[in-house]
Amino acid sequence: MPDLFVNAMPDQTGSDEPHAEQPYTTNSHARVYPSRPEKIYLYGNCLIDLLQPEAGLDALKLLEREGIEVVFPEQQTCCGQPAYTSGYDDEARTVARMQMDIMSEEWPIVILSGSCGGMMHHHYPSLFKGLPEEQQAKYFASRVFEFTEFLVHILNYQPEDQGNHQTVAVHTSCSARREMNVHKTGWLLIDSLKNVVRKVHDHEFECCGFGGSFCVRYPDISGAMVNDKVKAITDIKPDRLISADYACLMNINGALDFQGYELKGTHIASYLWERTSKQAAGENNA
Amino acid sequence: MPEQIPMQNLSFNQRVDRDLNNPALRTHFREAMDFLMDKRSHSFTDDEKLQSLRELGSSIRKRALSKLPDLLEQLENKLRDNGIRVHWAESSKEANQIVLDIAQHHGAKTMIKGKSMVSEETELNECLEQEGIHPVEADMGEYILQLAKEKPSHIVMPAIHKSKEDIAKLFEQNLDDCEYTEDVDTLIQAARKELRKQFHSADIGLTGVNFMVAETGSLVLVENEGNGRLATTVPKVHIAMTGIEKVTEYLDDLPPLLTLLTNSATGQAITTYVNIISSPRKGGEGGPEEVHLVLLDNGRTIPFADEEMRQTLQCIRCAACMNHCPVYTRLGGHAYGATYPGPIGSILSPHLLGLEATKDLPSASSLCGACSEVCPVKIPITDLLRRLRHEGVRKLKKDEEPVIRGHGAKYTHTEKLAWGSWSKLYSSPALYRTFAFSASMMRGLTPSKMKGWTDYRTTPKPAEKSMHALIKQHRKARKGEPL
Amino acid sequence: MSLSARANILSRLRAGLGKSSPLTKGSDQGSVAHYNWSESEKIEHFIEVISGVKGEVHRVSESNWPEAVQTLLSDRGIDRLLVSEEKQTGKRLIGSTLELIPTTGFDERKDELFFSIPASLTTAQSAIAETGSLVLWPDEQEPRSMSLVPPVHLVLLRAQDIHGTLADVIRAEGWARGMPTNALLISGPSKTADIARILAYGAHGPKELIILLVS
Repeated sequence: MPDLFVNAMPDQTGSDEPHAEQPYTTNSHARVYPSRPEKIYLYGNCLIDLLQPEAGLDALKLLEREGIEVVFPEQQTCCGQPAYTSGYDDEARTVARMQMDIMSEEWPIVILSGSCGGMMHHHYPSLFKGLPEEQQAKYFASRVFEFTEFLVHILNYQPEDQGNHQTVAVHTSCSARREMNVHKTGWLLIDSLKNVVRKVHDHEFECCGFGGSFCVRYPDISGAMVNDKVKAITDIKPDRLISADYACLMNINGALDFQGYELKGTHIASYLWERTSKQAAGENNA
Repeated sequence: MPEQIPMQNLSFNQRVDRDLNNPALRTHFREAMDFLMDKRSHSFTDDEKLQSLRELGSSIRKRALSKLPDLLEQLENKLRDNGIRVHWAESSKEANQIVLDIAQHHGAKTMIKGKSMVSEETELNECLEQEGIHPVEADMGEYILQLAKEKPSHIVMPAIHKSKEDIAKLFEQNLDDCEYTEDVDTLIQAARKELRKQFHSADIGLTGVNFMVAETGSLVLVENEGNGRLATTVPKVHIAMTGIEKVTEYLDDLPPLLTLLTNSATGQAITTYVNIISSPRKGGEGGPEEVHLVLLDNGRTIPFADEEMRQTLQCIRCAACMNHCPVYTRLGGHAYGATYPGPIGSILSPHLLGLEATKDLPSASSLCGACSEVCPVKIPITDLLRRLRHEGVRKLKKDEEPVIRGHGAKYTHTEKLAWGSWSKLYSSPALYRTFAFSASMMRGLTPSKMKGWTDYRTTPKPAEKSMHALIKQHRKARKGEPL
Repeated sequence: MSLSARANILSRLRAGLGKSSPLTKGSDQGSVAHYNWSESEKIEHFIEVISGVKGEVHRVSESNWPEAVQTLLSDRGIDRLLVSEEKQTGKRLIGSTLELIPTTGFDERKDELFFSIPASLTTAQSAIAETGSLVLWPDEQEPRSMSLVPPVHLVLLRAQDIHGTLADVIRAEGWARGMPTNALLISGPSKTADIARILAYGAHGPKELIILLVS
């Protein structure tokens, strides 16, 4: 079966066990990664900040445990994506400008969300194209790394699994997959947990239906998508659902809860912390 | 399938409601799109080669568009030298009139048609029928739809929404000596027999065109059935209709585009027939005595004028974007209410029909990017969807010319104000810090629609403490008592 | 029809381009697949691909192919063949048990062509290994409906005429210097999947495509 689709598309549309020998080589569009930094900026994202803040704290603890000095700029708010995807460029720029200004040092910016990462890494340069901030935006974009991408490619992080046997379904956000190309780093981290078995769900590559304002503007289309996603995930009966993107999780968790499932998706930062800290793993199993 | 209601009578949301709640249709499209996705992914097995080929395909199309007026003139000269007559049409109406004039000049009663999405775009059949000329669709999918009085729901497989049972019933009702059967071979042979009669007697053959080659003055048609070949071989007159963007510069540009088209569309290395026509018959080799080409603008010059939106015209109509689109998969093609559905339709239709009539299309996408990823000529479809959203809500500057018809169609003062407040809030850390997550704020962004979220999901509850607060607390604790 | 439509469209396009300069072939990025196939690899690949789409290939020799044609047709209960006696195909079949139907004057023989001719034999100009395609340039002796209307289409192809890719054929045969009225690539019998995605052969064109590969 060909590896590869950089991206994305399925080798097949149904679900299957992941291939044990699946190579995690990155594709030809892979970034050149810097060496291990001493200091980084941690960027939470607005949804994590307000709705699942533990993920942010867990990411911070994990990075600090790896010996990285974490700077958490207090002024951070939102990457500007909601306005940008709705077509409000001026409003998006105002917000984006502020994020660039508060993280102007040369340190890498580690982001707990593939879609905010995609916004900053992929879209900031075009958002400021032809404007005085263009160079600043390009430099900023070059320092933006998604959390799992940073762990795998820059820290070479090898999690030491302390937890019991669990099966896990993974949902990768479309931006992480297609704009950041980091779907494989999430898989890699989960697969390197020795007591965790990753199970592939039907149409795993497909969007969960969140899409920012799309889910409220076209609730029935979005609802059809998230219902299919919930069905695909619950069909394989995983012990846990993990994603590196809280926006998708908010969507999927909301639908899981609405349909009465106990399963609740967890951000990968919290899951990695939970699996690798004795205390946390113990707490969870208790 | 519920009875087809003329689409102009329903709003986008009504069509969505109708098709989303049709379980048979949902299952059908899911299976059909899975089939087509699997086909494609099994034919492009080497990602590195695929990316290089897409790069080339994109270059060829960009190069052609960068000199489009010159290439069209070169094509016209070559075709004229070869004996093919070229007609130009600014609108659907003009294009139909040209076809009608040719037909009437020959006293034609029947027209046999190969598959042509452009003739769907211009609603040629309706126009011909009004004038007493009987069009017969010969592509099997189009033939089925003509019997059912429906529009295509997919640009490559137009009748993909019809089940075997639907078709068996249609044939039983409409074809002589055709009993109800679900045996596909029997059904196809019944249609073949009927259509052979039509090919035999038709006065005019009309087809679309997949590519035109300026260098040699050639029209290239790609198909599996042979209807295109029959329509361009048997009747005395052949009329080809296509959009002005379909031209390529050199014959050498053709092989990579063909490879991209057929593999992306149906996972075929090549279609059964590639039919390259460069002149009417010259002697006894057969073929029509007259060949006409109708070049249609119908709004294509609008995106052409904007460098970013010009990329829309790179499209080679493979339909891979719709096959991979999670929204199209759930709605099918009819809900879009335009000739070209799916992602490509959502960036093309606003130019052909104006943003006023299509304002939902660019917004009804989660921007997941599957379309851009599979596009064989690398059209940045999600970027163009977003650009159209921007044009839909933007106010023109003083003396600024709109780049699209229906510019600002989605602008509302309320939403503009809401985003203004949003922008202020998220660019002022102090304000943001004091901002508690509030459903009323969300409601302000999308008036009256918040309800949609809770039709399918429970409401997310703000945590007791924000990440900001938790990290502050964590750091304080660590200072006091290191972990 | 309307001169103004032409002028308007071209002027809108020119205005749309503004002062941007045209791209040249030299600036194209990307590439197509290249193959370094030997002669025998080309033949093998051609056979594999066209067989995969239900093209029937028979390897024959220069001396025995007329015999093969007769056997293939008699196996199908066919004793009449549309073939040009001006071409080598027809010449070699004169005197066989087959009734040879002449290929000229179809305009007056449309009924016969459509409803009673069971099979045809044409020559292939060349073929393409990559896609398993036959290249036909119909002419006066072998008009274009010969490969389209009869339900069984036999094609005589010489192994040395198989090229690697379409691009190779275009270059080797100098297509850009002058195209015929109709150039055809044929890759298998006619087919459709328009009913419920189920593949059915013989949609509008031949139901069977039989290749006599001479080497």
